[in-house]
Amino acid sequence: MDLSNESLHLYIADYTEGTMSTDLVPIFEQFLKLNPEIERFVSQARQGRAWLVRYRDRLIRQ
Amino acid sequence: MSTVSALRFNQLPDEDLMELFQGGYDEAFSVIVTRYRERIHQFIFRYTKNHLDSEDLVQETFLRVFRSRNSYERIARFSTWLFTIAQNLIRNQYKRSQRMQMVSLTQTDDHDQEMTIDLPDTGISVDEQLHLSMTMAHLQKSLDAIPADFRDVLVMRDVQQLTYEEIMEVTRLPMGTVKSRINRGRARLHELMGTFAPV
Repeated sequence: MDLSNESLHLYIADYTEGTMSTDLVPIFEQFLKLNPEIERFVSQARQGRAWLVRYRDRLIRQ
Repeated sequence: MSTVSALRFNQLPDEDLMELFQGGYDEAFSVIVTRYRERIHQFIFRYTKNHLDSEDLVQETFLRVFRSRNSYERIARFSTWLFTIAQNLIRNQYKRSQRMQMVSLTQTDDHDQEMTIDLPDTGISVDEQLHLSMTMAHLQKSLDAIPADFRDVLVMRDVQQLTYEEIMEVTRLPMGTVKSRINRGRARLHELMGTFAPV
């Protein structure tokens, strides 16, 4: 499975936002270990979201 | 509006307020405006980069809600309908001006002067403030560098906190595409932020 698969992105988004079902999390993490390129992408997406959450917090405090 | 009815209306969900408004209770409209004014302003300001233009579009958005109140149906969430109106107005504005600029955290609109980010006094040092200011400016620049198709949905989700269903309705894109663009936008943002230390 590669990153052009949109179905994969449904899982990535849920995992990134912490809304993935707890049953699925270990399975998905196992999948990520077997697919380092996707694991790297997911890590980047999580960090990108963290930046935006900080950005939103700053906007709210302005 | 009396204090009593204001308190009562404030506790109602948006959709109930719209039904009351459709039934002739104009107070319900006032509550909706109060509830969404700031959020809509922020949403629009992201695109116009200008407070005056944003305020005009905010006014126009609520004017359209007022005029089109009877076209709202409860099958759609009110916020989805409202943001769709605002998004369409932004698009129309963009078509008129043929250019769209993104908001800067370090520069204002009216007089092209530097703007200080007005943060509460939390005991933060001058160095930390400078670092924060530089980081936020870089973050803004990075956001601007992301292709608009990705940036729009990214901002809707992570800044405006719209639900995926709302984003789908606003953009008319399928869920897979919305999530794919958001994931890619987030990853791209991280790359663009490079070595900047978190604030």
